Amino acid sequence: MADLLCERTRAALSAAADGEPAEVDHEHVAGCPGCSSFDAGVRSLRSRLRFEVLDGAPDVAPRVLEAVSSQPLARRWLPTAAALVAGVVLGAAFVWPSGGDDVAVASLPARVVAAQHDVASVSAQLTITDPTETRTGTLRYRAPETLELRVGKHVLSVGDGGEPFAGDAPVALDLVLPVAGFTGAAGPASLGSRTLDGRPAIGVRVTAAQVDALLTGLQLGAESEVHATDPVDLWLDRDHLVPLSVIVRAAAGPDRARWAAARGGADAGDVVLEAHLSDVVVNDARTVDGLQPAPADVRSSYRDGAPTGPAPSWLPSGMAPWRAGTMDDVSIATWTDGRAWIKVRSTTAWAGTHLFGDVGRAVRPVRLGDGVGYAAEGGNAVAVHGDDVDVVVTGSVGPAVLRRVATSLGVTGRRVPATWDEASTATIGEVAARLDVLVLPDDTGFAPPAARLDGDTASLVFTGPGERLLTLVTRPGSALTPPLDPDAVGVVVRGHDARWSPARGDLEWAEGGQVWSLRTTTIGLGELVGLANRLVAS
Amino acid sequence: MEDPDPAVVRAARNGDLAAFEHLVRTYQAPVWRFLRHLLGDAELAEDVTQETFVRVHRRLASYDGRSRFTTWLFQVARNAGIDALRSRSRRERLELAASPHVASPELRHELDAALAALDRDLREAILVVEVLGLSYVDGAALLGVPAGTLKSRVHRARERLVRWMQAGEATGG
Repeated sequence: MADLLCERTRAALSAAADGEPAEVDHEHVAGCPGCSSFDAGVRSLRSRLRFEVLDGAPDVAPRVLEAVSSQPLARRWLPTAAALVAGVVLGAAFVWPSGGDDVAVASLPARVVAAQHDVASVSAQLTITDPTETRTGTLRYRAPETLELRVGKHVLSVGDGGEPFAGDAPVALDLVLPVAGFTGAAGPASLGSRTLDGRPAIGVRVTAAQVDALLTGLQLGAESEVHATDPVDLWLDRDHLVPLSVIVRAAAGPDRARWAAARGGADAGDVVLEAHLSDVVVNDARTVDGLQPAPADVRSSYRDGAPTGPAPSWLPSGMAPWRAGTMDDVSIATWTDGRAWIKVRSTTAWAGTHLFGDVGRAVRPVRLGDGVGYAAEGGNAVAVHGDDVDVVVTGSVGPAVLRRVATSLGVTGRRVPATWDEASTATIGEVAARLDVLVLPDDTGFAPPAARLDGDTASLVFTGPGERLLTLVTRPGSALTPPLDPDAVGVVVRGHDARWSPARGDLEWAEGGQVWSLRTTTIGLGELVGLANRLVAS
Repeated sequence: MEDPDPAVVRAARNGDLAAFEHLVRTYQAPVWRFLRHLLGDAELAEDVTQETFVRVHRRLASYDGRSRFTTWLFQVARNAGIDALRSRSRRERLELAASPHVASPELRHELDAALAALDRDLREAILVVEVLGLSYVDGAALLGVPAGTLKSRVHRARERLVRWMQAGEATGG
């Protein structure tokens, strides 16, 4: 009873400190050391937070004004003939990866996503080598979300003690099966077949950006030497598609060289990270006997319990209810089938100025039954803004399945209010009514773009697997503004003079009465020019 | 926090760079302070402060005056901060998850370390009420949550911060 009184008193003290109406039992406070100490603590906290000296506050005004100003710069820019030739060579040298004659590899992305259903447990020994050291460790996983990675003295535990499939879980789970790296991907370049650790394996070449989640896990506790454009030779167990070997080499190209120069990094072709799994055992429960889930984060407000939000009337076959509960005003329910998972979060208390669910800035309106939803960048989330409820559906199952689950919730999705961040989201058709639009063909491994129209400027965000992302911005114009980047390089794109600004990852050119800018931080210049050359009218 | 003269905002919306500069110089310090506490990183806060005002300049045309300018400004700042957190490499987020109580070397003060250890929802709540001085209604509008949720988060954040501070004092830290 005393504890309950103290709890109520402290809540009232907190509200009263903020000028809110609250009944504080001052007699109790005077006689209770705990509550009077809390009262003093609140006042001390206020004086430290609210009245701290603004030491070190930077003056960003000059840089802001330079960024927003349209004043021409003193330096004139002229592409040199040599730079133009280099650009042509770069574009031509990039060989588009194709699944080619290897049917197994061409269908690999879909097979990786499907393989989730067949993995119940994995245990393996790990050896990880980078330029400074070799480390050994172990990996143990029990579906759907209990994983323990030990490398040297570092331990990563992901488990079912807190919010199910919380934000960082996919990072660790990609060590077992690189789903995030292959959802929606094009068929990668094939390296053929071989036997590794006594198991038949198939090899593919991808980029570090594509398998970022997998590489993040392998670099636990170590400094990263890996650049987004570095080629990765990835060998997967042929039957279960569990990674067996990963070799990352330093990419050639100005992007990587510029990044490495500041870090004393490797030369092109050098191995910068190598990992091998051995003694791999799949689907033997004895190897993960005693594997404990990670303890719940005490700071989390998640509590297991009955979900209160809308439930899907359709789920992929084999999916069964997993954990459910609430987190403040949000209802959470999850389903799983081995390694694959689907999560529905919903709230009736959303009063935000953007879509509920942290779905990112680049969203694409999609039809869901009689209403509309918003597919998030990467295709790994679908948000629905209903009349009385806001919902977000996430999972490891691919965008089409997520949309079907979202449609089956029985919530009619509305267009977001005009005041919300996503209000300038547009369909490709709406953008095309104002400006010429270019898009990437399906076989490039990028999802249909999320589009925004802000006045005369259209932005299209193309997301690929992992961290591969491109933004194409266009507006009316016939010439580029002078460059801000002193390292800008002249290249040729789509038969037009273009400019590559390495500091911003920005490829710019003028074409058809519009100025175009293709931006990325995870794709090298050679591939970027190749992709720009493949853009087609929508 | 005081709102600017509406005439200055109007002038900035109409392309008056001097008026826009006045807004930047007036609010860059409180925006940086808010972001420094939100992100737990002074250098990152500086970059995001710059990004905030670039976004403000780009979106001024869509600011219709229905909310207070400072509320709108800090919404832009908060979203820019969340975008910066989201675009941090997964490696950094993973290492934060693996060792939640390791304080960053940039954190000079115990209170900064205590704030960084808070769950982001609680940290934002205490910052909008204590650092920005907003009411529960205005703070809730900024964060896009019900006022009751904000009130509860502020209280939970205070409980933890007060416990942390008092534990530090008891050990002479």
